[in-house]
Amino acid sequence: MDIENENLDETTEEIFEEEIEQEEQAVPSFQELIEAEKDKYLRLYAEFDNFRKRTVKEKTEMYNNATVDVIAELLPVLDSFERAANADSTDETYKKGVVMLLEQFKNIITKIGAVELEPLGEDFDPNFHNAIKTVETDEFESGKVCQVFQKGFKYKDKLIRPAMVGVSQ
Amino acid sequence: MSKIIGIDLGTTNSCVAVMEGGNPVVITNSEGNRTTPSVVGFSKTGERLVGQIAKRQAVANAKNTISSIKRHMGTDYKVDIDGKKYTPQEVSAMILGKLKADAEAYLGETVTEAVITVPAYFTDSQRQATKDAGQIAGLTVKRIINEPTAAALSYGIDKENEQKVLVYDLGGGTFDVSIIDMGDGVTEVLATAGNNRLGGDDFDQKVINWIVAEFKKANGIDLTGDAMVMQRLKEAAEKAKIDLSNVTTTNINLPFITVDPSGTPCHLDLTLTQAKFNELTSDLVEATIGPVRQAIKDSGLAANEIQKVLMVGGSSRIPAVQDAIKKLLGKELFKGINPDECVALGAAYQGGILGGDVKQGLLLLDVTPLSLGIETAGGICTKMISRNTTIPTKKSQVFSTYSDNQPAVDINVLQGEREFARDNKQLGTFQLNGIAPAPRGVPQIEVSFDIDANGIVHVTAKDLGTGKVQNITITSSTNMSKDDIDKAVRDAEAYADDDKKRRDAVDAKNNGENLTFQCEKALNDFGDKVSAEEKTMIQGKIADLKAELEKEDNTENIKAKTDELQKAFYEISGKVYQQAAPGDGQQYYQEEGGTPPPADDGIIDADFKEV
Repeated sequence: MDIENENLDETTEEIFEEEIEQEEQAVPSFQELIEAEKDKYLRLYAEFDNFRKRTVKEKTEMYNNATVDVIAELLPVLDSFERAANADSTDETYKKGVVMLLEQFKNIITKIGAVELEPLGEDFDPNFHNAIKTVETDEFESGKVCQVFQKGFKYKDKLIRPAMVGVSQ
Repeated sequence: MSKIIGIDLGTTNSCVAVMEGGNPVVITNSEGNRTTPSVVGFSKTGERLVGQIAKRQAVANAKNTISSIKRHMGTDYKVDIDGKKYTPQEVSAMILGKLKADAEAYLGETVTEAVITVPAYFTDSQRQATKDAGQIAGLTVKRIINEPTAAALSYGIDKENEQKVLVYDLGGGTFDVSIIDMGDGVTEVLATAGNNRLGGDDFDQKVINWIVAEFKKANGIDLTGDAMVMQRLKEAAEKAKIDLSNVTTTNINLPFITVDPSGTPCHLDLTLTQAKFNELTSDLVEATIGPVRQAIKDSGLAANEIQKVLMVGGSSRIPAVQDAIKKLLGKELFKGINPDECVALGAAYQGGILGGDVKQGLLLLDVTPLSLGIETAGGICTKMISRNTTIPTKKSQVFSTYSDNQPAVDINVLQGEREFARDNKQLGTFQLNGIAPAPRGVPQIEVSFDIDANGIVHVTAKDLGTGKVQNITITSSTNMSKDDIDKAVRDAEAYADDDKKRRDAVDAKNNGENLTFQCEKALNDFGDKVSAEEKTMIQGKIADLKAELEKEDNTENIKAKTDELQKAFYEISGKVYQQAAPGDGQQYYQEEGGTPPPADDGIIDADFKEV
């Protein structure tokens, strides 16, 4: 009986121990909780740090972007002035006025920082040129900009508007 | 640690977004745009071009440019470029590769995982092909989700009760309508329908055709032959379409569009009304209604069983489209998130859930629903923490006393948007006593509000002179229902004008009282340095102002008299200071037993009531 009892006690003890062990596994230790919170904090901090760095970059970019946007909105007016200046007119004085207007407008956007692209005869480059047609021509090798329909502009290293071009085939 | 990005891989345009600080944000591409054309081109030199750049060279390099590859996903279709064959997966991978690179440039870290959206009707093989495309691009696709589900996620519909949602998605070149059942984290697609050759570009074309016809009618010239002119028309037509989503008429103004046979320039100057636009495009709108009806029928639901209607895709902004859907379903549309971006935003949100960002509660920062403040002189509620401030947060401000030798201050903690204490909710009060005897305005009492992450408010008042501290903890500040909060905000808006007037009156009165007090004190202090005449003059003005202060409803007069007294007093005090040696000014403060307040220390001159 004694032996049996001992055995019983041992088994019960084992069962309890096992249960306790299981319980302990189920309840996360403080260590684990702290680790989890620390991880959360580090992640958030890292994200914040990246956010901060990017915000600084974005702030400096903001001025450039705004300039590009404003010039881009104004360019259709320049196009129209240019067309008006190139249109036939019998009134020379009036025509001169239009040409002067065009120059005045060009000077202003140049002063702001817009640089006109000069693609004619260059290799077609979709980074700066928008092809709207292909042209069969002997004048240029294939793949060159052979016609410029609308001027393109850039500001610093940003493209304001690609030049609208015809590409030789 | 790397983030899971969300990608809307569209037929005409694609968009990429990522979770940031608990909110999905769209990532701008290297060209500075928020969406990227789903176009791939191969230049003569073999260079691979993706997006806007590929689109620009499409005309010059048509046979080496691929667009709308999505239509071929999951098929055996192959694109032949210079003898090399590409599968739709490989071409899609090139688009994904650019989006991945743009996301990496934005985040400043490597991106290896993504959630990609597909139309609800995509078959298993189409979904597998999309997944493969991700793999080729170096992205582990954590999940493929349906576009309508992503749109619903961006609106947070997953957090609401189970409901049936109709998603109307009119994109650049495809139209899809889906009815989904969302709830308990499970989404079921009940029905889909659509037209994969109908989109915003068709609306543009209708406008272009109209412009061409109108111009021909007026000038007898056909514009369609000139590529340059047609390019200008295309841009103008799209702009007009977009304008007409917000205004009822728009001007299409293209000067010097062409020259007539005699060489005279011709201008194009047309006005397009919304009504005319609706007429031009009514067949397109009608063409989308059929599939909507079909989807409802297939879902086996009655129109009134659909709880929400989400509008997705740029062209869902067209008023005639919205009106038609509203009429058909008899309910208001769910709008607010940019329809071009909501699918990508929803995908990013799903990525956030999968990455654990969302579930961990890490990013679920709460905000204070209403402003918190304390009562100051005249019953005014001085705000300390304004509504919608992200918590945890802490703010401090220094106040002072209202009367000479005031021994204690009452701190009345308030919640609400109104200008006056009595219109706001009182959260609790306490008293800070034992303030050393001093003239009004001299004691410095720092009041701090500290809201912890659980929304519990700790208010502390500290006498900076004696170091004495008193505080209160309020746990019930956030258990207001949404209705109560909305009502409080609405009330504040409704009464804003009244409140402002009353506040103005109290401010004027406080300023007036303060000034009379200061002037009287100053006259006592250095009355011997001014002439008897000046003294009498100032005393007269003080009496005037005091008389005005006694009257009710007298704000303007109080302000006028306050200004008058202030001006007169400044002149005299200026003289007094000129007489005094440079060191004397300093001494004046020292004699008072106080330190001169710094020029701008944020001390508010509104004071506590005497107890």
